[in-house]
Amino acid sequence: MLAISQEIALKFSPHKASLADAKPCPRTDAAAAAPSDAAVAAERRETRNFGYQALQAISEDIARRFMPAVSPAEPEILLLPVDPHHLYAYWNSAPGQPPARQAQKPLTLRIYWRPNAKQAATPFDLYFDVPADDAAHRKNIRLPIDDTHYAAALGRLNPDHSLEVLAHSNLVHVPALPGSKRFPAEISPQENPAFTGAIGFPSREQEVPDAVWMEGPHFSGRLPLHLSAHRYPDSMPEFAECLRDFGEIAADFEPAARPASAQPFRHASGRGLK
Amino acid sequence: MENGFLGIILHAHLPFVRHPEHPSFFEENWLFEAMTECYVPLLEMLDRLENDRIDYRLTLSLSPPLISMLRDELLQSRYLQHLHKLIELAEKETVRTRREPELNKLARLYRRFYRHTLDFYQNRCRGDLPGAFGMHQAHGKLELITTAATHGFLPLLSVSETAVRNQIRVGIDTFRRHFGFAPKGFWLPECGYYPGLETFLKEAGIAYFFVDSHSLLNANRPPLNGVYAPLACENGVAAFARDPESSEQVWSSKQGYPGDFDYREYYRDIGFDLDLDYIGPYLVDGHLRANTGIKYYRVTGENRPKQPYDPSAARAKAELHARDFIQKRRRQIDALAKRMDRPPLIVAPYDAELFGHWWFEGPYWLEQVLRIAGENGIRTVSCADDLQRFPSLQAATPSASTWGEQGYSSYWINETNDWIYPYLHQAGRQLEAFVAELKGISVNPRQERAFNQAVRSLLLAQSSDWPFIMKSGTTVDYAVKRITDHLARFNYLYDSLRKGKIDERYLSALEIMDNIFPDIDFRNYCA
Repeated sequence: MLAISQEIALKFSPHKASLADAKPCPRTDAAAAAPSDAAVAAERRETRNFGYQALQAISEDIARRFMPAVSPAEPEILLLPVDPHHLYAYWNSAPGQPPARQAQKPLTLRIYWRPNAKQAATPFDLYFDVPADDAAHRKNIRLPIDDTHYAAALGRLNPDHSLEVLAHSNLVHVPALPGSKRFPAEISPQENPAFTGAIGFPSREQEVPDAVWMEGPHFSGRLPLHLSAHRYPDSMPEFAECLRDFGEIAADFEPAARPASAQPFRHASGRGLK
Repeated sequence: MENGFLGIILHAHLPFVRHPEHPSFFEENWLFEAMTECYVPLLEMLDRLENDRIDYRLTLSLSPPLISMLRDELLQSRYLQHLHKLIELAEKETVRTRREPELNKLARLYRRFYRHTLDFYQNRCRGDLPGAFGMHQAHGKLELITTAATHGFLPLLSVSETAVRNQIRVGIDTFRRHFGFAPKGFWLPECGYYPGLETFLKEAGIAYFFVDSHSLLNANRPPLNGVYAPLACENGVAAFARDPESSEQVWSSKQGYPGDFDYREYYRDIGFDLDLDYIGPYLVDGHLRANTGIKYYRVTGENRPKQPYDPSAARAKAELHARDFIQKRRRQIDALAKRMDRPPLIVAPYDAELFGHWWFEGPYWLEQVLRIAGENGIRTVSCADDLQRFPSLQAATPSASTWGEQGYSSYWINETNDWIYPYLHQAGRQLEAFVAELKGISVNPRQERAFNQAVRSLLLAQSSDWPFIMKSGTTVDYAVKRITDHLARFNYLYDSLRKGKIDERYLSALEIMDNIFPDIDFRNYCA
């Protein structure tokens, strides 16, 4: 089944524009060989009379032959914000390279802290490294600071901890944890209906529990934190402190089960409204 | 001047569960159950309020898939069949329970209820529930709004502005096509907001949207009135936040009203209790056990044998709970008004399907709330009313948030459902690039239909319901099948268009199966 699935994916996966560089696919001559309006109308009338089985057969045929598949032309990485302390990354590394060469150096996600999103990225941005699994292609990453921006680079880690970058990600913002917003003293809690627990928002600390899938932060082994006091003279200690508080926990993401095949389907296993 | 306001918002949405490729289909019952237990009872409630000249305001968000299904001839026809079978089953139940007076009384009640529903649907509504809701909007008591085209979870689609813009635009276009006017408000699917989303809402002519409480409380400037007045985003679009207290009173599984021991028990249905030989003809497949809608017991309480349902006691309890709800809002408003620079607005949004489907007495409770609010000095309003009354808003940008578990996106991206996003994003990029290539190039009618169908397939794949179901673990097989089917259909159409070989028979079949958004124009995808 896997072999058939892979063959179908190989044969029928449409050309894919890379995340980093959306290359248009070859253009077809759209207006060529256009059937006449009358012919189209006649054919449509003819094919309107489908039975259940004919519709099912077409649906199943398409599902079998065109199962979703991702086949990137270039290495790529994309970030999605999950919550104040997590972002989700998915990537594809060097699809054209042979596995042997890929395995020589560990695949790594370098997560950059970008408190000022308007500034361009520089080599001095603070970052921490996360081991990336070539096979998994995705990871949920715990973050040290909420209410800020992050970006990432996907690459191969050299022994000197420099990164051979394969792809750069998008820039994402993770929101603030409720109750953590550091407002100036414009309004006292007593005056603000928002913060009076008896009548308004319950003063709950919305802790994000460490679910199995979100086990903890990930750092590169020997040199987890790279700082530039020139670039972030004020905030650097805060970031460093947060990372230290995290401790060093490595947890690889277990891939979720993908749909194994597009089997003919009749009924769902559950019941009721969602 | 009023001391304070109450805005109740119901969000009505179901995923597009229409299966013409089968003579009957289990998931279509989601729609039929909601029509019988929720949408029809809500319409009856609105009729009663209007007949009694009650001065009320209520906001109802109708999602484009729901509107499309309620107006779909196939589903309308299947719904009638469904109702006739229910009436037949209730009839049989009056015979089966003749030696059990308490159950027999309920069986006769169900028979009346289904007969009345059939009559209301056919004769009062003429089979057109959106049209009936539209009449209440025209009478000025109900404000109708809508949501994204297929209820796409916008924060996780936001890697493509085009995808987000298209979900919003197609949603509003669909609403306008059915109701003849553009909505002022927009229900963000799952209340999923991220800073910048207001740009697309403004482009689409939207004046306001809803977020969860922590979105306003964590805005980029402190909200001077907490969650009891809207904020204006930088572009002027207003964000209204859910009041946590009134939400908890209804939503909470422990403290919430619906869990009261006198209310009808949702999970005890004759579809699971009776012999298959007897109940089989009323189940979709004859053997797959499911809810029929006939439920004889009340919640009763934990670790006790279920007691028969007593409709009178349940109605009395609903009235009591309505009074309790209003009294608590009254106290809330009195306390808040002293501290605020404007009368507080309490925003209470709920899933519409809670009312009647999950909480059988919900529509009656809501009716009582709307009836007695005015008597207690609380004016019910829509958010558009509030903006008209108080046009000057504090400016601030809300924080990213959802109303899901933990308040952010983790319910829609986790180990159960994360695999869908690379596929969804890739399909979006492919479509966007292809449509952009075609600027200034004419396509023939069949190609145009294939492009339009590809947009429909992508939109249907983007529905937030599929990752939601995968996480909740209810009908996971169905959710996986739906998203993979829609992505495969997209891939097929894309491949056909690229190769210039479009099979008319296949294209027609896809148009029949996914007939949502008939007026869609692929050229607007990148507009």
